[in-house]
Amino acid sequence: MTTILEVKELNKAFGGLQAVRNVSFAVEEGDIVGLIGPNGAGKTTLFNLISGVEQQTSGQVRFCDHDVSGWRPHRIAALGICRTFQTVRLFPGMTVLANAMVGAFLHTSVPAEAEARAEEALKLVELYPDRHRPTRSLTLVDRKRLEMARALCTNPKLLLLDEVMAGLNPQEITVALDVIRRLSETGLTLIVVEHLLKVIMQLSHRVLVMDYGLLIADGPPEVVRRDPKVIKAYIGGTEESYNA
Amino acid sequence: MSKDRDLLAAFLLLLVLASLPWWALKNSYTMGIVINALAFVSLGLAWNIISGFGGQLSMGHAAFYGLGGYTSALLLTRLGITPWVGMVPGMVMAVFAGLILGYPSFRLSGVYFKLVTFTFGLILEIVARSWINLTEGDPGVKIPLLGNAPAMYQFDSAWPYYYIILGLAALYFLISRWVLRSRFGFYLQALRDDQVAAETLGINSLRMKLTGFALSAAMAALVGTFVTQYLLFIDPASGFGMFTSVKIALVAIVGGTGALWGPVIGGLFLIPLAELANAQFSNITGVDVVLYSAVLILTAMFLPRGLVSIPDLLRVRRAPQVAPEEQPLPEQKSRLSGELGLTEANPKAE
Repeated sequence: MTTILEVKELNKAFGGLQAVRNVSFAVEEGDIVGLIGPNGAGKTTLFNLISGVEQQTSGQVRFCDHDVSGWRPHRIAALGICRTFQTVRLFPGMTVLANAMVGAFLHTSVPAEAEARAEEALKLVELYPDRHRPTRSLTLVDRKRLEMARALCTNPKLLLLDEVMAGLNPQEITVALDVIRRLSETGLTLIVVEHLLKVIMQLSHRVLVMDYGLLIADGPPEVVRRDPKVIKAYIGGTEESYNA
Repeated sequence: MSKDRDLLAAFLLLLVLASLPWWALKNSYTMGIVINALAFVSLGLAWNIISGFGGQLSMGHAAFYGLGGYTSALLLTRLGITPWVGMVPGMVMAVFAGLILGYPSFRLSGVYFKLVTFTFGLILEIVARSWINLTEGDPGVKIPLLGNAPAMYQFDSAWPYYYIILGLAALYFLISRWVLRSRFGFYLQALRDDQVAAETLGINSLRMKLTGFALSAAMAALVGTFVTQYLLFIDPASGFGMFTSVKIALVAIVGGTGALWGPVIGGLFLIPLAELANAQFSNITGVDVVLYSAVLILTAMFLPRGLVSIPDLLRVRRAPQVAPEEQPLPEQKSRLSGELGLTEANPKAE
């Protein structure tokens, strides 16, 4: 296994607010890494820094042997990092298929090839029958699926998923988990932000826990779930309440 | 399939327009109206690339039109260079200006691009008025009469101008269609809808917008050369003026911003309408300005997606009666019937 992503002493301050403090970790190729933490812990900011949407105050992000600190998002995307957004960001003026094709155009300029790639991704997330619909007519669940399909169309090496399962019912979560596992089997590396602890604990090979911008735990799920720091900071109560 | 229908419809429209001089446009006045309309169809199609597809509203597109017109006109009067050649430096000037304006303003979000393009038109108009040695100032540049001189882009009747501008409009339609179906067009539309999301999918926003703006500017400049040769003169107000900029944007907005057919429908509807109003009320100056303003307000209120959206709205009205089970989502139904309510209030929607 080789290290695909390395984050070193990353800091991000918004004025006086330190959203990410001295965060360091590394991700091995093919891993599913869960990233959890209470609201405002800095998870989304960390995603924004890795994907280039925001610039860090200090620190370094290395991806596939490139120092991508300070790169514009489109260059990072071309290198193989793609992400979804907690507040889904689709292209509302375009159809479902066209949304996915925008992602697919990263590796081809031929519309027919992009269309084929987009249709494949839409089949994976079960949106293929809706491909000619306008994006704004989709339900929230379908919007999240489409955003994921669009990200997959860019053929990323590392995919950052920001709460793709929030708002899904248990059955839909099972389907989503299945999709993520299948993606992982193809060699894709994933970092998954999710509030559903059980889901994260089942899915992840490794779990990172953030609180107030700090990385307070990093390890396999069975170790992290017993970590008193995590239980105290994240759950704010006893272990029983967390298991419930 | 619907794309092939676009091409077929465009071809039929082209045939109709090409036949007009044989049966409808018997004098140079009526032909002039359609030439003017086709010029604005072309300008609207040019504007639509960056402002419709790309969502970057250019409020001073007359600047590029004027650069094309002035450059070729001055090259002709000063150096005797035929406008067939002079149109190229005209386009180069427009592209150059577009890149200089776009490079700083596309890096900022918000209102800056609109302000910069708007101001640029005003600046060029003042320059054209004041730099008399170069531009001959307020009276403008007059193209010397040469009789029938096709090599110098001059003809002694209106029909060659008519077919040239018709060809240009058809070419611009094909360019727009190609852009919409290419990666470039997908990227422009993605940037219009959500720039941050687009960038995380690998889109270089600055480069895409600059390319779109340069293409749009060059297309407008070419129309400028054509119109100047047809009217045999260009002055600061008609070349760079705000009214021309507004008309360019209006043609596309009324027809349907970002829609392939928008500028075509808008130009063929709006320009003849304004000419008609001017002829009817020739004792009142500025009837066309009032008309443009009224049409803009009506469009914004009742048809935000322009005249091209009328068939969609009518289809939605019929759909629930024919096949209620085809209505996909309650959410969508209410939103569309909301729009429908607005069309019913609009006397223009037949």
